[in-house]
Amino acid sequence: MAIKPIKIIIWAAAGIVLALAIVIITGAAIARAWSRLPFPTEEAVKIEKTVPAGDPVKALEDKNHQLNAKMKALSPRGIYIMIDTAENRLRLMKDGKMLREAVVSCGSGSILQDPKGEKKWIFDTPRGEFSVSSKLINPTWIKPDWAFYEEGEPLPKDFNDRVDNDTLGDYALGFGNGYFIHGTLYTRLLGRNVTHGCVRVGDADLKEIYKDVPFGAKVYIY
Amino acid sequence: MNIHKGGFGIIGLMILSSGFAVGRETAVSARKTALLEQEYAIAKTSATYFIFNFETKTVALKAKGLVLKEWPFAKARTWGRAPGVMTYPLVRKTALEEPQRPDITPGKEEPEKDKEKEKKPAAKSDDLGLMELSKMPVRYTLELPDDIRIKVRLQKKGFGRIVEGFARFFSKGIGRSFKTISRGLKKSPFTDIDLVFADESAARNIYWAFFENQNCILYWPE
Repeated sequence: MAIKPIKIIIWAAAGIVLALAIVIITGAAIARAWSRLPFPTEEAVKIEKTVPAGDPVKALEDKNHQLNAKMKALSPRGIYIMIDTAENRLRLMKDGKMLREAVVSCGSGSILQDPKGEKKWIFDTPRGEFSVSSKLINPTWIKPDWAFYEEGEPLPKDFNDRVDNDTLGDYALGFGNGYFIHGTLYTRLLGRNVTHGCVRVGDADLKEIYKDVPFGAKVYIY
Repeated sequence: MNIHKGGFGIIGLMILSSGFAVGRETAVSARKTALLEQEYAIAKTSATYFIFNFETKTVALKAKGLVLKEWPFAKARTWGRAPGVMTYPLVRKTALEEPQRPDITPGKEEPEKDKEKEKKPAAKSDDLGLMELSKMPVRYTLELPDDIRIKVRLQKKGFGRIVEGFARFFSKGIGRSFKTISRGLKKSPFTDIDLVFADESAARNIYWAFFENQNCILYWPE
């Protein structure tokens, strides 16, 4: 009785799948076991050296307690600001509790080059820890070169042509290197990444932020 | 006599097992100390940093010990050497479709100033050609020193999950098993970590917030 070719193919395929499965399972098991083998890393050696004699668990727990306390001491106290550039949200915080959440606009991440191709600007909102270094009412924007290049205009010869009293809104809080939390004329774009690196806030939120945030307050941008 | 032998055996086993338990407890505490020491060293600076915690199954973005944002992950698989509790800077992040920074065209018309015009907010879905969270990839690799790679992907749902699990079993199973064994023999360890998120916003946010040279700590309890 002849075996049908289709049956041979099915059996062969099943055999291959089974063999592959066995190879993978065995290989994975060996690999897993191998990965458990201790590699003498510098870090492992370092940890072993730091384990104190006597009651090591208690000593280590005491040390962890101290480190946690030291870490807690680093955290900001009082009023501080958290800015989430991905979600375009500003959170006004006090001792870990949120007082206010505002929809803002952060950096667009766009690139601008001057016409000669000599200078390049990347419009990101800087990230990290900063402090409120200035608080201004009716702030004036001194337009930098990129503002003219962006508009396709030549650089002005007269300084007064750089002065703009409208764009930044009613208040501005500086956090270093020319970056500000300020008002905006483009409120329909709040919640989107459209700025040149500053953080734009709507009028009502800005007023409260200006009122509540003291000079020197920490600003965390991420 | 037999009873005595059995009793000694049991006592011996108890001593041995309590010894292992204490040893394990010491190791866990020592690793926690290492984590806190590493974190404290970064927290003293003004930089933000990440902690990949495989005990709590979370990825946290922190500054000064303060959690700025935290994302849970569904599961993690590790291949190769378990890395030590150390601080690693991000060397590179790669994705098949990396987001591109938009170039600004000088002289392009500004968006409408809505104090003068209609106050209709721009919808989240409006593509303004900007670099925004929605354009961040959900599948990417974070490369760290010491040949450590964190591969981020999303958890598939329904039937897709079964199909992908099966495909992954065959494609990655063989390759990684052989890689683990061959690299172990060559004493050039590597670490591949598959980090699977249930929420796509978590994956996008981490891609957004984690930038090159920013530090992270990988923590396993044991």
